[in-house]
Amino acid sequence: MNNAKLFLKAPFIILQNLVHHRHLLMRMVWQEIRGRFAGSFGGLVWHFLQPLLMVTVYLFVFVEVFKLRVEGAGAENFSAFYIMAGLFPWLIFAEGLSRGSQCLHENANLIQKTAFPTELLVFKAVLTPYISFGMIVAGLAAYRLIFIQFSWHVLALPLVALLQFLFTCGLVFLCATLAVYFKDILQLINIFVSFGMYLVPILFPVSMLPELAQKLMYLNPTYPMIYTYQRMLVFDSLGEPIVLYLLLGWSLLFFVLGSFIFYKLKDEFADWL
Amino acid sequence: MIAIRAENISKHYRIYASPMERLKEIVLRRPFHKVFPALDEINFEILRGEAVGIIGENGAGKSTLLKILSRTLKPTSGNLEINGRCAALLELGAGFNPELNGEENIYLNAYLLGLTKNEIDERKKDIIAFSELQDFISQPVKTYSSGMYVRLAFSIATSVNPDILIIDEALAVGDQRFQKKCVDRMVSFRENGKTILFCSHSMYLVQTLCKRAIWIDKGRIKMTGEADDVTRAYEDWSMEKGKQYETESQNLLKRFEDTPPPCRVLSIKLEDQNGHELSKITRAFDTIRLVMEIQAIHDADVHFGFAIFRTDELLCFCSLTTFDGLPPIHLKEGEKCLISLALDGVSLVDGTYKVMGGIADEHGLHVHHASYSAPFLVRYREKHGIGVVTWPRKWSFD
Repeated sequence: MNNAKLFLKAPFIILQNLVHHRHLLMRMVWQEIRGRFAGSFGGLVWHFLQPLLMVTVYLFVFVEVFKLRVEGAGAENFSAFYIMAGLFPWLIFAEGLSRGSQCLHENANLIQKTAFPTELLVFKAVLTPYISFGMIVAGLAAYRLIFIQFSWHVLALPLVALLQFLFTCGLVFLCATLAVYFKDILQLINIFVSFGMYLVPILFPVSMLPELAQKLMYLNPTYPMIYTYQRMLVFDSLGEPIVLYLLLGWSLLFFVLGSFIFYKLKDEFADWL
Repeated sequence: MIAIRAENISKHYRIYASPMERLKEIVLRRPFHKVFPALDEINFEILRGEAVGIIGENGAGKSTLLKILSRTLKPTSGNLEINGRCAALLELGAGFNPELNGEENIYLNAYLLGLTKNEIDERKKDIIAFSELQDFISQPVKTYSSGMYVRLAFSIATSVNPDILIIDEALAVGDQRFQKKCVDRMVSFRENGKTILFCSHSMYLVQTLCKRAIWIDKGRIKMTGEADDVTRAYEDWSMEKGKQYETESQNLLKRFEDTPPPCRVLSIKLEDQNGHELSKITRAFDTIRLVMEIQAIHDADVHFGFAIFRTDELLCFCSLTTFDGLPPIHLKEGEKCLISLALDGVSLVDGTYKVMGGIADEHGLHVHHASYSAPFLVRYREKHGIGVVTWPRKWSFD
């Protein structure tokens, strides 16, 4: 198959494998989640303690100390809700990215010694945080619908989550493939995951940025998904159409590109790991 | 019907002296690696229902070939055609998640082999029963012994009813009884017209289980044909090579040098009844003599013993002077003597063996010193069956 043909076909082959192995994948995700909770008494508590503490600190610093004000639908000050609406989707993305990039190295044994469909490892890493942090996002959405104001826009969240999934998978396909050849990439990704949060308006509204930075924000591929989550959860709107197009565009672009690179090189992984 | 067809399969590994060389190669676009051909131009066809053994030395490329056939590795070049569902048992514990329990691992493995949830639910009981791990199945696999790993892996791989079964050496672990159970299951597989590819160092297993064998040496096919012929040729060849094998017994001697024994075995050989040295036994039920030359370093009362091992370390025969009720023999300092044991009616079957001769203390308990002979071949002109021993025999039909 020549490259152009493969470029168009690879994303579909990868999605086909995802559908074909869906039961195995669900089982792997379930085991991953259970594995984290099993064996320790605190179990579930430990898993949520770190992000919850983090949120508490952010809320205290930004809402109480800095008096951040975000005006949302139906309320005077929505800053706490605003921070959470951006932070948890970001955590879903960040955990998927850091875990996913390492997944090939972590499972070198599996890849070298069995005929394992490698892409499942990536899907598992990206999907798992959807279950844990996704519950919190769903909780926020429910709170929004029941206690603040009903909004049809909130119901479009699964669609955004799906686009975010494609985007994250695509990026992870790229990073994980690169990491097979250059392990140093993993260090870069760790740095990006811890500082990247400040490159997106999560702890502050985009309107607080200088004008130039606001314009540059359109070049940030992670901006559209976080922005859309915030719009839907906090502001009862879908936001600017251009951002939605960007979200769709980045997601498809990354997924197609990532799938292509990954699919083209995945047979070599066993030799290089 | 062809089950597996391999055409010009090659696997070349690039060897880099350091990761920097790899980077240099990408940046400068000039090769900075050495090529190591793990497999070179392998061609063969395996028909459906055939059991084929793959033999060869360690590092000859057997495992690489099996990994390519099971689609774990991609060949550097060549075409591979595989017809049918293929289950592979490659390396110990590969494909298991050590943190999960046995049952979860059954699901993971069986899903990978293409079973649906219902099919697994159905077969789970059989898998657990065959593996005899009922009491441990809810324990994490990391607590399993290597034998238990193999039992579970073998049970899963064979329970999913594959068309092609690829087994790499895995049976070497596990106790004799379970090995037998595995061999039985493989035999029934073969009888049901499934294809088996089996890689082993046990020439005996290859001969009994497989009709055909492929001998791989240094990444190339050295010989392919009837299992009997190929295993024999391989044994002859490795015996030729095994002349260097004596270094092994030299090592053994060295071990004894740390605490000098009161007497030592200088050499061991095999003779026919006329006293001519033998390296090959060609007539069944002949008389042979095991001879060792020994030297006493101090005065000592000692017992002597001989043992015959098959090359896979199976003890075929062992006798000590104590067993036969003889009194210890007194050796004087510096004395050299020849000890020989005549064996009437040799009844070993075809294969490669070696003799061990040893000197034990006056109670026959502590071994002062022992040494091996060079390997010798048993290769009868006429067929004498398989197994461990053969007998003079007569059929009758009443």
